[in-house]
Amino acid sequence: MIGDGRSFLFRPPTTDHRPPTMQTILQPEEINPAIELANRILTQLDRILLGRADLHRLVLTGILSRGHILLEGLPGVGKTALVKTLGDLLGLQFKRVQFTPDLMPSDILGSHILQGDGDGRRSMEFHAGPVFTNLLLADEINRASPKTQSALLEAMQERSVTLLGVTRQLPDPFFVLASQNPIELEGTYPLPEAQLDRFLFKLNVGGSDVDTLDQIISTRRRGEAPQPEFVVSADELRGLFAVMDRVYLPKPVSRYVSRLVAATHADSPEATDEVKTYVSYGASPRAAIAMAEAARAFALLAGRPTVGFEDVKAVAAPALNHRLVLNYKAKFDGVDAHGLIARLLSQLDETGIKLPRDVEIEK
Amino acid sequence: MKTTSLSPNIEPTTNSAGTGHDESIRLFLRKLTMLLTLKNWLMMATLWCFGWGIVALSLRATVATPRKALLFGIVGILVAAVVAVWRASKQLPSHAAVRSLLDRQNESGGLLMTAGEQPLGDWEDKLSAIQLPRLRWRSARAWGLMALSVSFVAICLLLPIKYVSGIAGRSLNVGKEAENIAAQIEMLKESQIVTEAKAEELNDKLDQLVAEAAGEDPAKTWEALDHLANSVEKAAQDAVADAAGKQEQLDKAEALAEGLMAGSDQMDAQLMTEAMQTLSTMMQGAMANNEALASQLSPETQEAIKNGSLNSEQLKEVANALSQSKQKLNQQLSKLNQSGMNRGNINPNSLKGGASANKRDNSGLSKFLKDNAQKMSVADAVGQWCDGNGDKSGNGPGRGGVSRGRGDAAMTWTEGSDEKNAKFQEKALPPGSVAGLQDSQLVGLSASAPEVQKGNLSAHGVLNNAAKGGGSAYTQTVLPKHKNTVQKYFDRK
Repeated sequence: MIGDGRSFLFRPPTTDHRPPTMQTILQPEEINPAIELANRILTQLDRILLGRADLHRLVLTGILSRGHILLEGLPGVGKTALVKTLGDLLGLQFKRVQFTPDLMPSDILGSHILQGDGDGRRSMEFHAGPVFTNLLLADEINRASPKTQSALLEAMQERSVTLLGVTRQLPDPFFVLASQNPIELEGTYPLPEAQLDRFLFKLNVGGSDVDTLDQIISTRRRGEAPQPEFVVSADELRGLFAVMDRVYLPKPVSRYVSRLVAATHADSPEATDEVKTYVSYGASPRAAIAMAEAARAFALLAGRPTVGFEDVKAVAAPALNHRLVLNYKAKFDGVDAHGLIARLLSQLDETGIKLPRDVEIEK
Repeated sequence: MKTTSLSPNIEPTTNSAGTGHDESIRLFLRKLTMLLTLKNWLMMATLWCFGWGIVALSLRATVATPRKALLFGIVGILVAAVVAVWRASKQLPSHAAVRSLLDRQNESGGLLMTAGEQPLGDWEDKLSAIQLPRLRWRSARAWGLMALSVSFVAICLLLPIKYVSGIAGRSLNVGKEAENIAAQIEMLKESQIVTEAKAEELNDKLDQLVAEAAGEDPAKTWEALDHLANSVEKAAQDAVADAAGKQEQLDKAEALAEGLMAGSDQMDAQLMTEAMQTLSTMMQGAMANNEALASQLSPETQEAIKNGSLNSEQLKEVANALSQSKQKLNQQLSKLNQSGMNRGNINPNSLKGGASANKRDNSGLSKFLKDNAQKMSVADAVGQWCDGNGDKSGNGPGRGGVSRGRGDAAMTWTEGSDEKNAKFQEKALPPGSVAGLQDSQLVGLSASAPEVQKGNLSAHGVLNNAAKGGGSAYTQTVLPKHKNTVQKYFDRK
């Protein structure tokens, strides 16, 4: 929550009190500062963490959407560094919890401790856990027991913690960026689908290419990343969120999101043959909400006040890949969620226009 | 692959703010409507043309509908155009869908879609140029099918009627006639009038004729059938003539045998010897022509016949055998008569020695022989007797004949004149008109009555130098058998 205030003066747009149908969309003078700020954040991320531009854009999209993100990748690929850098850059309070099988819910949420005061009276005093922060890194979340996982996931959904009948709100904004290791699955508790659904995105953090690695070892002593050149203030961040809220979602695009989510269900009329064959359960309505929000944020990062089909397509894979439950036949045939979503996107016409088979509209 | 493009050159359509987008959308919808209309019309017109061709072909083949009447099918193509427009309007996407399409194509990032829902403000400038996407229709197959269907209709309308009607491949039904001829051949074979080899040869000819009977040239088939029927009837005629000869021979022998039995005491030895010799000669001739006759006689009797020394018992045996042989011959003649092959109308009852001859009293033959012993030989006298010229009682008028005998002799009417003495004899012919129409060669069909051209009067009748008639809408081919009959009638003297 620290703002350097050196160069970026960002005034959040005033609230428009006109009815939704009469509201004008964000005008250039309203959106341009937000776009500039977002691009500066992205530039900083790309400068600090090399070779991950697409991942940075999606992570920032998730943050602007106020969603939680699950990062999946091998150890040492920079998951923790990404979250830490993001916390530093956004001026958000950052805490990290290393999840282990013996981690208890109270280790995350906090607990009441009996304490005595100077008068000799004793009382139960609440000691907040690491969840009371803006940005929580839940490292290797799948190593904790389901009990602990569910405690965190409840906090993620409600953005509040209730202990001994007292509900305490978590700081705003509150993000959980969890990581999990796709290998070394022995002794782990994979997140059930219902809990995975709480995450806006599931992003795969892959390895770096040769040029990136060369750049890292040649420019970074012991791999230490440089410090951010600026920190986004809380007001600026709230201003970004306010602008994001006013990014307009046209009806055809919202319709496309709905059709896309519906098409992940095998019984949908627009489901592809592949979906019918390999998908046991499709994406939930929460997926549609997540996609709509993420598409807004992506449009903002692209410098537009309105959401287009391409924004939906850009966020569809990270928003849907962990929400599709594939059957065993998919595993046998080597079909994964990412490939299935990519083919679904290519087959489902965005506009819903149905022309005769031999008539085409050239793209 | 042939493609049809309604927007060959993508040219930016500059729009003024607001209504410019709508104009672009309308323009795109108009082009899409035209393309869908053309596509639907091609599809429906193709289907219509195929259907039209099939119906036209069916009508021409069945009721010979004229081509001009079938040309009304072209109205269906115009109707198809109207239906195509209606169907294209149903297939058109909505205004909002086209707006989203243009947004995608122009990579407007949702601005164009938003323009339909919200005022864009300063963002309108970003949408100043809208490029309409190109519509592509893979139309090669549709055009090819259309060309095929039009060709099909043209062929169905222009195909000559003789190929349409299917008459060319129709065979001529001569089953009934062939059946009759086959029955006649079988009867001749059973009666041993023709040999088995000859009957088989005739049957083979008949089968070949039936197999090769075709509708293109029915007269040829009928001519061949007539020829075959004539061959069979000729054999029957020969058999009848032969039977008649045998009948006469047997009748004379029987009369002499009965005469000798009844009045041998009235003849002297010389006459008796001559009569016996004559009987012997007659019997040997009859047995040579009739194997069955010999089998009815005992060896002793046959020996006595050779020697010319028959006693009264043997004479009786001979007379009985002759009578039975005559009966058999008579039955054979009756069968031939019933089969219709006896064209000469030889009634077996009218033959000498037929049913009427069986009633002849030959007891007076001995006296007749004795009275005429000096005038004629025994053989001639027996002939005269069998011709009914003998004075059977010796005193009264004759009992038969119209040229001899006294005036008080009873009149005896025989059957009509035979074929030998008649130049023309009436006989019923099989119906010619109906069969001729059914089996004649079809040269054309018309929906209405043919027009009579007065300047081109048709020859009527089959005779040479016949006067031309007044023209007729109905003519028929006269079959050979009818031609021959008519010719025969006019050739009589």
